[in-house]
Amino acid sequence: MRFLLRRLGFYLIAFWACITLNFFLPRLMPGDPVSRMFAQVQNQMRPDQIAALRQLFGLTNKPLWQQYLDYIGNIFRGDMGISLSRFPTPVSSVISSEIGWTLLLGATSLIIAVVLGNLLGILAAWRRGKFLDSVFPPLLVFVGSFPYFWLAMAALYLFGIVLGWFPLNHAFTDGVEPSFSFSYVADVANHLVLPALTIVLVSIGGWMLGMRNTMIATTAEDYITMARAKGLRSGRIMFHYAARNAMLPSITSFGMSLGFVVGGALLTETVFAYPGIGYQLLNSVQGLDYPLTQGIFLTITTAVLAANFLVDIIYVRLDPRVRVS
Amino acid sequence: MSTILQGGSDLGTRASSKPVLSIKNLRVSYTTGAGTVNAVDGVSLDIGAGEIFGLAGESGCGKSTIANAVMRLLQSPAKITDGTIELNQRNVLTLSDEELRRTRWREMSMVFQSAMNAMNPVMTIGEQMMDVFTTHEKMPKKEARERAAHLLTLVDITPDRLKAYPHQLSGGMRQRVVIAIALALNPSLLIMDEPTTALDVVVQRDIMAQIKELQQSLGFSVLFITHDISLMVELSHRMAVMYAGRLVEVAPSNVLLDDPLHPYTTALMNAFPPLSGPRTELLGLPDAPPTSAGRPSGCSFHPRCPMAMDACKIQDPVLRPVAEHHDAACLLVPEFVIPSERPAK
Ligand SMILES: Nc1ncnc2c1ncn2[C@@H]1O[C@H](COP(=O)(O)OP(=O)(O)OP(=O)(O)O)[C@@H](O)[C@H]1O
Ligand code: SF4
Ligand SMILES: [Mg+2]
Repeated sequence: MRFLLRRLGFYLIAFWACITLNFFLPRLMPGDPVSRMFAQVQNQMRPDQIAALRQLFGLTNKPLWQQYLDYIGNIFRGDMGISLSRFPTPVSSVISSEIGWTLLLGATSLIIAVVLGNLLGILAAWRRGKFLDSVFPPLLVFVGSFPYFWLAMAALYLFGIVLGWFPLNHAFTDGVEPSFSFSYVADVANHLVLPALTIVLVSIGGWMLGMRNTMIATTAEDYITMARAKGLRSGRIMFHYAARNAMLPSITSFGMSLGFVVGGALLTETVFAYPGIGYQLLNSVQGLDYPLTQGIFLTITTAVLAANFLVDIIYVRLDPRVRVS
Repeated sequence: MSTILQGGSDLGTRASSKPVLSIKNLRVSYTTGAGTVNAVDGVSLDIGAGEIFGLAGESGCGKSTIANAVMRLLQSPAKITDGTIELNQRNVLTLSDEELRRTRWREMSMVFQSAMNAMNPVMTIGEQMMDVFTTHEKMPKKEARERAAHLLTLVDITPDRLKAYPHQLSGGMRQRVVIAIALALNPSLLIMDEPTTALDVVVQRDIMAQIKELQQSLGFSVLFITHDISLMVELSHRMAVMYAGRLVEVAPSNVLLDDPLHPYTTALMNAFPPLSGPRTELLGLPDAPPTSAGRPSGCSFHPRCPMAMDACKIQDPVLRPVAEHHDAACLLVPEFVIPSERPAK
């Protein structure tokens, strides 16, 4: 428990540092970047909106500490300003309209890759040198070494165009009203298959190899020998003794990846015209949409920190040794 | 306590009744890039019911290899090239995987040389004790927990430690838990491979006294491996001295202590009290024991033997009786003819 509180404290400090940086960066920019940014949308803006943006970028006459407090207050109210490229939509609604798709795609493919990859790694290490171990790692590394773009196009061509099994683009069929009906969920799932599949294909090899190698190192441990000497069944030794220990490093990488899911999958979104944060981020950078860029970065940071905290909680459950240290 | 540790008064007769463990002509080799090492080179030994049998010898002479061969835990590059290992009259080496799994722990268990790392760090000691019962005796969890709690009290640990993780226990406690796990199914043979090397002397003595006590009440046989000759002499009924993959002398412990016949045994005995650290220096013997470089001609011990004669370079002495219940492999020691086998005049 004390371990978790310490970690939480650390993450809160990191979060604060990140917001503070976000606050100061535009104020450190030379000249009046805001005017330049506003130029393209100035004539569409109402004066009060301009005032709000100026405030966001520190171009008011208020003292710095006052601006800082206002800024933090806004952040906690979820107010990250107004997007310039999609004026006058607030940044928070741009993000929230896209983040669901990003989470759906990212989390689905990450979880499938992690679970399947680790399982394959465990089995390959347990039957070292046998079929699974000699065929899968090189195959998956081979697939993983393709440029993602190429692989995604190939999948799209084969399964979308030639075989026609899956839709070519978007997250659901145009014109369908989002609802909690079976047909809508099935439609979304159907649109999800190809994008998720391609992500799984390129990432699963890494998970499998990582797990296989730690697992092999673990099977040389004395407690595995003792477990064998105890006459336990192979499955119990494999999962309860070997895999439970070998899994620990994987959990850490999982946490990292989980956090970065929020950043979106730009290439996937591009190839499959799938909605998501990645594309928004690209747009915002190209369109000098600072409020949106900052908002997205802030969201990613928050997600990374939160995911790491989640991993800490899982880790404490899995490895009793961290509870004392 | 030292009365508890008094063993060795029994002149090794126990081995003559049906042995619990019978190793015949065991050969094990390790083949690596550097060549083949015959780590165990034709070892035969019997351990009787309720007998504590000590196996002594320098580091690298093949003691653990024998222990692991009996448990059938040897893995590549180790290979058993010859011999049989009979446990309760069944050849361990020909058991199927499933038979082997059932035999392990129920008939033979082992306390490992590296017992400090022998427990899974992410499971409680209770879980690691209980799975022995749930696997081998198909016992419900609740009953297994009671049995585990009882086992802990056997080694003077309070049952509330069942919920502890290995890192929460001291070295001595952890070792006692491992011993308790080893005794869980009341095996007929307990193998202890340097069970106390990592512990300080007081704890070490404590634990060995406890083993002796448990051994007397439960009656299992023990194959006891240690560098600590004095501890071994106190604890075991019979002892074998091993050199470069072979047994060079086997006798009741007190006989070996008072009247060693093989020059290597003499060197070992002179080196005690306790051996630890670099063995070769303490032994007062020149050079190191033979390694992968290969076995010297004649008696393997001759390059280091203070008594070596010319014949020792040529003739390889075999292990044979040199007195009643006393075998040795040295050209200096004349063969002993058992009275009943003496040709009648
Ligand atoms: N994994 C291995 N690979 C190659 N050779 C090995 C291996 N394990 C042991 N050996 C060889 O077998 C010999 C006997 O090793 P073993 O572990 O049985 O010795 P030991 O008597 O138990 O020594 P110690 O007292 O240090 O535990 C060693 O000298 C070594 O050369
Ligand atoms: S046979 Fe010779 S070399 Fe070997 S122990 Fe006896 S005296 Fe020494
Ligand atoms: Mg050893």
